[in-house]
Amino acid sequence: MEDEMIIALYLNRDERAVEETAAKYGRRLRDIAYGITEDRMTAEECENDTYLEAWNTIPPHNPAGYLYAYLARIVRHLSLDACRRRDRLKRNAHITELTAEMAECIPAPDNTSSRLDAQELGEVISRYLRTLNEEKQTIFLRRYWYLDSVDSIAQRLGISQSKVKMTLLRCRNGLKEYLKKEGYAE
Amino acid sequence: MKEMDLLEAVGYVDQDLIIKTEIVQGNGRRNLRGRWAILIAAALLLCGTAAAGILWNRPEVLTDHNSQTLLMNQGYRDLPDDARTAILASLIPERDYKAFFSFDTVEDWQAFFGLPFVSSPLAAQNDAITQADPDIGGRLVIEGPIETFVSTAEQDGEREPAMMWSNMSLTRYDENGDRWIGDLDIFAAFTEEAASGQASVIWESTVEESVTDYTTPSGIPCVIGQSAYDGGDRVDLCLYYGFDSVLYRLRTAAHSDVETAEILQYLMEIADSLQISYPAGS
Repeated sequence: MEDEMIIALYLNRDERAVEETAAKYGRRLRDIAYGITEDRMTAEECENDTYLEAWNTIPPHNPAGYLYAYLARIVRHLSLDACRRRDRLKRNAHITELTAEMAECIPAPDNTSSRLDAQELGEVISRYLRTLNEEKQTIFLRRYWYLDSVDSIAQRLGISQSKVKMTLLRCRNGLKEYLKKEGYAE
Repeated sequence: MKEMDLLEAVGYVDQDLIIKTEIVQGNGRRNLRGRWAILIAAALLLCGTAAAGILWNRPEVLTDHNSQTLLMNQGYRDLPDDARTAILASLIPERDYKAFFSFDTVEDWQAFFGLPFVSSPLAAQNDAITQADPDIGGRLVIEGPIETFVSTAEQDGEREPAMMWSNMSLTRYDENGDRWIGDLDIFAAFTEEAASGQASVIWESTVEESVTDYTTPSGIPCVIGQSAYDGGDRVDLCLYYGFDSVLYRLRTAAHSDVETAEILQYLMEIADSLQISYPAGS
């Protein structure tokens, strides 16, 4: 079913919207969740919660033209939340590694926090990403949005792992400089 | 800002960027995964002809059941004073006291480190070459800056440069205008300890390897390595060579037997034509 029709079902409060969403995007959403949580049951839980969140937010939202991105953002957020809850008991090594990489981009995180919340920082990152070519955007987002492994990105794009790592390094350094230049970090 | 918030912030990047990433993922990118796809690399700059047998050492690649390891057991280089000073002034404590540099040209890179550069005249720098150039067929082109970091180690309470790793992106344009992309990594040690260590573990997820020793007509020893990934739809190919205590690793990959054979042949052509250029003023 086309995205527009699925959104119309949501807007009309037709419960088939959830079924159609699951049929069309379920596996991909579950893959995102599993990539983050590394736990099948948690991933399924996040997937189901995503449908509920979509049901509760469409309307008022109308993600015409970007339904998958809308759902993917929700499942990503829920998955990170699940990790946060779980991490109270045990650190998630994958998330810790990615967080450390991203932390390199923020020269003074404590100072930054006083001026930026996550959404505003996301907008700054968007502006920075638009200065990059498509390949770099893809590598950066596959790593830090989808939380893919370096090996997975390399295989997905048909390039070497070292190229992925070097590209990520350049992107992080570039983001750090961009944040400085834009006055968001010292 | 809490740790997790930084990753969450990325979640708020604009929707169209996520969609675009999704489209790229879904359709594949010709230049990345296209039918000719994959890498190759080599390097450039000529000058002096190969002084056969002088000052070179053999790169050593150890192979076990699922990985290959490049050893830096071939001596170390002395850094020019200016380079040492610049490196120590650029260290980033949060990054394990590494220094990061970006060089626009091979000449700049050579001038900074005072190193010779070994490459094939089949390669060229991209200044005057574009894909539309009718003479571009079969040429390797260095594209973009040469990204470099230098690690340091503590000696007597002071940081000292230990090892350099440079990376440059390369593209091979063939006669049909199709492209193979790849990269060239260059390793050099600046201390005895670094020279005796392992430079890197290569290919962590491979199921089979083959390594062939090869010595070029100019006397530069090369090692050609090949590894198939699980599933068999991708073969990583590397040409290693060493000169004057600097190791080079030229990486590429193929997606078919035909492509593998073509690239292996091409790597051999590159090895056959390796030449040494010395930094200006040396």
